Amino acid sequence: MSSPAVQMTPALPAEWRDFLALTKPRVMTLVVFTGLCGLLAAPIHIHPILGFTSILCIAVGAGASGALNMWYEADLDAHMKRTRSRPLPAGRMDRQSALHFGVALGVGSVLLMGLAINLLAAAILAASILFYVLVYTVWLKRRTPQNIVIGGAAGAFPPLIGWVAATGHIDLLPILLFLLIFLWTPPHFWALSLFVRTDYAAAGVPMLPVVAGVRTTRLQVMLYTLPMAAAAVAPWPLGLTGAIYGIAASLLTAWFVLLAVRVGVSRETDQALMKPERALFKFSILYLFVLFGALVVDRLMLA
Amino acid sequence: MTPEYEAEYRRRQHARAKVTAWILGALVILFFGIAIARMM
Repeated sequence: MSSPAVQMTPALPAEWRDFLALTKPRVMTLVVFTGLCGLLAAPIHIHPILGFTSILCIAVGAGASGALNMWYEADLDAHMKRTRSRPLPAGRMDRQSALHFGVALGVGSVLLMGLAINLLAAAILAASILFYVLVYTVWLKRRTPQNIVIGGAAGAFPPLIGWVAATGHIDLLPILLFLLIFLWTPPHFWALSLFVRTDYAAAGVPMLPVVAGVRTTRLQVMLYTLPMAAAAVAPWPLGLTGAIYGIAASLLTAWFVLLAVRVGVSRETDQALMKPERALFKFSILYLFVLFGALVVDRLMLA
Repeated sequence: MTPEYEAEYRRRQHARAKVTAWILGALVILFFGIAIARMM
């Protein structure tokens, strides 16, 4: 006896906008900007088309990291208010599409960087994608409250890649820029995690405020700001930049330190009333944009 | 599959195909530009 034919309704294909959302466009803007600044700050002129290709590869590589991060963390994202409307937890896309999309972007960006620009830039781009996906997302994020500290290295690569794309080698200035973003990440993210810590707790992510408490996190924000300040100002006394960058870095960093101290001495426990934390988080984004902008202006003036 | 569902299915497929075509076209232009830039 034959069974009646079952008519299956195919799932709706994801919208192209959902694929775009997988690349975390807002995060990408900072990545593209710092990568572009690394490229423009380099002492060697690069053909505009090759420069554009380098930045495109950095952007697409960052998009790949974002897509693979969302693919792996779909279960976590479903528990957090901030992330539950993303394409995967919202059910607008199947996981396999996200995985294929992320892998295709990652492989494509590294191949293009290697073939069109240089192998060192491609190798660092590949390392940054793998670091973000494997070291941060898969390994550290769910295991240790120091996830942000080490994971921050992934976001610190773009200026280095931009510089290497133009010059073909690594110098002291891009290493300092790498260090700056690396050390900027903990105060930036911990300021955010302080006022969304219930979200992280609900998702079971061992963010510092969830595991070690608000007070320890505030202290850590202050502590990490000090080496970050040193890395930000260092290019000036080392003679790698001029006074434009030096003065801008000194003023901006002084304000950053002041905001970090305000976070450090705050005793507020109600997330809704955490104004110093919100102020530091917002300023930290502006800080990086203006600082890198000042670097480019300074280097172009020196040139 | 209802007609509305099928229409939405086709609309999404069409939109994705159009975006893919634009990206491929842009890549063709980019690769041409890269080839010229590398020769200079």
